[in-house]
Amino acid sequence: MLDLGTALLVGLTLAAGGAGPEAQLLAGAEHFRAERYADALVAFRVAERLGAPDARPYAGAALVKLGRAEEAIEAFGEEPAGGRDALLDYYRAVACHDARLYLCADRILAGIGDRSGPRIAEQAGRMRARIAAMLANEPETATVDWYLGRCAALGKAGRRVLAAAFCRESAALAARRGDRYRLEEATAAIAPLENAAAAREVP
Amino acid sequence: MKSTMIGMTAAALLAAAPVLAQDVTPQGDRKQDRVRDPDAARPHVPQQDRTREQDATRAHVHEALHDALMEHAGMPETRPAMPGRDVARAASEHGALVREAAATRAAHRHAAQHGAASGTTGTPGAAGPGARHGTMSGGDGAGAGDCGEAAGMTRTMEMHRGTMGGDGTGTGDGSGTGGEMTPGGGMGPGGSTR
Repeated sequence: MLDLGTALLVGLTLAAGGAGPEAQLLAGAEHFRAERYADALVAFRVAERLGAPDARPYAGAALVKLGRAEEAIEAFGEEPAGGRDALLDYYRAVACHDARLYLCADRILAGIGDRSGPRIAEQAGRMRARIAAMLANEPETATVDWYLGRCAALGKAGRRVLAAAFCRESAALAARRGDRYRLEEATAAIAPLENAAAAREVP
Repeated sequence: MKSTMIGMTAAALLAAAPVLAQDVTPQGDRKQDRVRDPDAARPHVPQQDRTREQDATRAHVHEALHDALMEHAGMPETRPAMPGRDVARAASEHGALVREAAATRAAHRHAAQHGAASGTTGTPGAAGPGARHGTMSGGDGAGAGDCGEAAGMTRTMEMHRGTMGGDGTGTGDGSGTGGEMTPGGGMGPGGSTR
C-alpha cells in the first residue's frame, strides 16, 4: 500500500526518468544511511517500479524506520519458506514486533539463528527474551479477541496479507490457552486470507 | 502513389527517431540499434564482460544497502505489551468508576436523609454528640450516631482509590469513634454517617 505523498513522489521521479533501478537503490541506500527514510522509501519504490523486485523489502525496512509497521509487513509480503537475508529478516521481525505481532516476530527471530553477525544475533536474543517474558502467562481472552477483531477489520479493508498475519497471531495465542479460546475460528479464517493474498501476488 | 506512401513512412520514422533524422548515412542502422538497446551503446564490450560488470554493480549496490541497513538496525523502541490487557484494564477501570459514582450517590442520599455530613478534613474520632443520626467529619470516619449503613459504601469508594479508609463505630447512645485512615487515602464524600 502506497500513501498519496509517496505515490506522487514515485510518479514524479519516474516521469523525470534518467536513472535505472540500480541507481535508485544506491540513492535509497544513501538516504537510508543519512536517516532520510521518507526519501529512501521513494527511491526504493521507484527502483521496484523500474524492475527491481528485490527493492521491495528495502522499502519495508524504510517503513519500519518511519514507524509504519503495518505497511512494512505488507511490503515484506508473505514470509518466505527458507528465509532470506538475515538483516532483512531482522527488519521484518521489528515490523512484526511494532505491529504487536509478537509471535510472528519471535518466529522470524528464531529463524535468523547463525545467519547474522554477532550484533544482530545479540539484539535478536534480547528481543526474544522480552517477548518470552511477556508470554509467560496465559494470554487473556480479551487479547485473542483483539487480534481476531483486527484480522476481521483488515480483511474487510482488503489488506489480506496483514489480516492473515493478525489471524495467525490470534490462533497462535489461542493455542497457548488451556481452553483454546476461539482457536478454531482463528484457524479457519487464515487459509482464505492467505489464498486471496497469494492470488493477488500472481501477475 | 506508392512512392508517396513510402516517402511518408520514411518521414514518419525519421520524425519518431530524432537521432536518425540527423544522420541518414549508412551508420543510421547502427544508431537505431543503440536507440533500441542502451547497452548496445557500448559496442566493443563483449557479452561476458558486460555480465561481469553488471554483477559487480549489483554487488556494489547490495553492499551499500546492507551497510545502510546495518547502521540503523536498532532494537524496537517499545517494550512488548499484549493489547487485550489494555482493553481489559480500561473496562475494569471503567467498572470501578461506575461503582464509585453509584456509591457516591448512595452516600449523599444517605447523608441527606440522616443528617449533616461534611467530607473535607479528617478529624480523628471524636465522641459523638449523642444525636440520633449525629454528624461526622470527613475522611477518617469520625462520627457519632447510630446510622452506620453508609460505612460500607465509603469503604468501597476508598478502596478504589487504592487505600482503605476507616469505618467509624457508633453506638445507639450516639457516641462513636472514628476509624483509622491509612496514609494517602482518599476522602469519602460524605463519609459514613453514624
